[in-house]
Amino acid sequence: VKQIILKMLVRFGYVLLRADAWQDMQRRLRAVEVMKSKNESEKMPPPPPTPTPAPAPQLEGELTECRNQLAACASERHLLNVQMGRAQASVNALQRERTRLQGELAASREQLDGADPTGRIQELEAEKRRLQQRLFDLEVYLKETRGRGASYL
Amino acid sequence: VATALEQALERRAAAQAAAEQQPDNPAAWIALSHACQAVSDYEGTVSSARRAVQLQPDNVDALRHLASNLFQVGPGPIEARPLFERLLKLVPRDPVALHYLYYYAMFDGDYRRAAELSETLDQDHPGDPSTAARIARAYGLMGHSVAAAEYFSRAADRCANEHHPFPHGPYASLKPVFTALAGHPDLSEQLSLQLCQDSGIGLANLSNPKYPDDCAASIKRLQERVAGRDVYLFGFGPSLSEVVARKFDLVPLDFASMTLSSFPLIDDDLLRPIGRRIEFVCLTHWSMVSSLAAEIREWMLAVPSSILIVPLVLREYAMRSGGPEFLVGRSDHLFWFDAFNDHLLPSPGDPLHFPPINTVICALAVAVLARSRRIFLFGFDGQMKGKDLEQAESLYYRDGHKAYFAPRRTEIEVRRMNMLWLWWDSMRFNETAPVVLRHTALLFDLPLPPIYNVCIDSALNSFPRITFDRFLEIAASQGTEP
Repeated sequence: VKQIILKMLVRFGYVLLRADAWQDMQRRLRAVEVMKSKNESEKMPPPPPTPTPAPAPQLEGELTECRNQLAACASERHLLNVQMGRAQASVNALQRERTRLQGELAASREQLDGADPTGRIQELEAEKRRLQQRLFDLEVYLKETRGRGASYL
Repeated sequence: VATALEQALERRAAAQAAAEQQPDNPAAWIALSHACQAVSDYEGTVSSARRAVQLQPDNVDALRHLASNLFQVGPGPIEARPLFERLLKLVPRDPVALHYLYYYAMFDGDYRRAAELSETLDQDHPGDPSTAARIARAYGLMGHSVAAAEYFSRAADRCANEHHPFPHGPYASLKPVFTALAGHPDLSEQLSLQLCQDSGIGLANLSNPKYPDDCAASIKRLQERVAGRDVYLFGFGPSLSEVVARKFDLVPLDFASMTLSSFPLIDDDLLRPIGRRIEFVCLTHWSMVSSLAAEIREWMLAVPSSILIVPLVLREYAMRSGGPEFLVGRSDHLFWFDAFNDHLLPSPGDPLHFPPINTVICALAVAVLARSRRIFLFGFDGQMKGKDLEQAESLYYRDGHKAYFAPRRTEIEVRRMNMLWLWWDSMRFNETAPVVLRHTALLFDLPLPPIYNVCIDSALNSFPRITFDRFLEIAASQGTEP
């Protein structure tokens, strides 16, 4: 029965192979495919040229330069910050001075409007007394400090 | 602040729980000590660090933390000394040990060792102006004035660099101090002017975010209350007893009164008997504020013109510990200044920062801000009276009085330490005070008042020292030759 079935399959166009022969053929086929793909890759045009890497010392030099520039920028930024702080202090000081001068101006105008110089004269006299007292205090202080071998303010 | 405080308290609670779970783990106790420090819990900080040292006596982190915290308060430096010595043995160039052992070498009079310790620190951490100044001080006390001037000059140079050219940078305000100490007073004055003024106008910038927003108003209030009078600033040195004995000589004089920490003593012994009360009190230590809270409340109510002069850091402490209430709110009875760094003098960006070398330097700067006519110091001996440390009142007026609130104050070892601190503070005061006051005057466009020290043999020699009789002559003179 086995022989009859095999003959019928051959008659219908089938090729009969033993299992080990089939496995051997598959192995050969894979080897051919590998060889073929290898040949194809060899035939492919070469990839575009990659830029030649710079020698390491040159890269390091550039890196150092960048770092230096960064440090200089940071330093400059820091300096600008502290200068801005001082400029802000100057602005505040000038604003205080402006307020003081505006106050003096307003007081002077009031006195002029009233055409009564008495107030201003009293102010100036008080200022004169204050300055005389200051002068006197400093003279006493200087006498006290003179010749003591110590430097005082 | 409340959120930050809550977080800090939570961290302390967590650290406490961790330490209780692992009572034999020194790291847990060190962590707890740090957490306590963050909420200003001094007792907790020290006791936790001490537990860590007990568990592991050679644990350098624990030693460092315990010793440096002990050093800050009262008699702590006595206990701290052997800990620093052990730390230096374990870590021969430990910067913390080198820093603190310098003080002990100076206190011992071993200036050679003091210089060597700071020179080692300078080799490992170069460029710090204060280290150069420490070396200069040690050489100066050895009698090597040329070396001292050279190191002060080096300290001045270090106050500026390419990143912080003068007058910018964190150490700029110190440069005039070191320049003067190096022997160049004229250059020092030029530097102070360059730092503090621009075109003859003071650069005080009160918009510093740390400052209360009513800063300018509080300076004005201070000036109104002093009203151009003399300010008498009372300290607690032995010579105060002469002033107390002659208190009735003060009756006819026109003055505003100011004092420091233990103010009830001045009120009770000196001013109340002549019908006056103290008007201005300057306190810099949290322990004094908390100890005197009841007396401060009474004083503020009883004296309408009273002003408590306190550093901003005490407000932070008050907020952290929930009081006292008079430090938390806004008040016409408060004047805030800044004082957290010994090496920071008044400068444009922080014009109300006075170096907390001692409280008197801060009080004096405020007296200058108050636009006083003259300032007279009383009871500022700046040193021990006589040679016998066991003699009563050799260090302080009525030194056993409870108003001083200092633990173990009468023990001889503690008295010796207080005497040494007095010596050290006087030296630092003499170096720094003239420039602090000059900067204050320049920054705020104020005249610098004449300042007299009414203690003829005081160790504070930055101002002329006069007798009480001479003081009476000067004080009574009003525009005619005394």
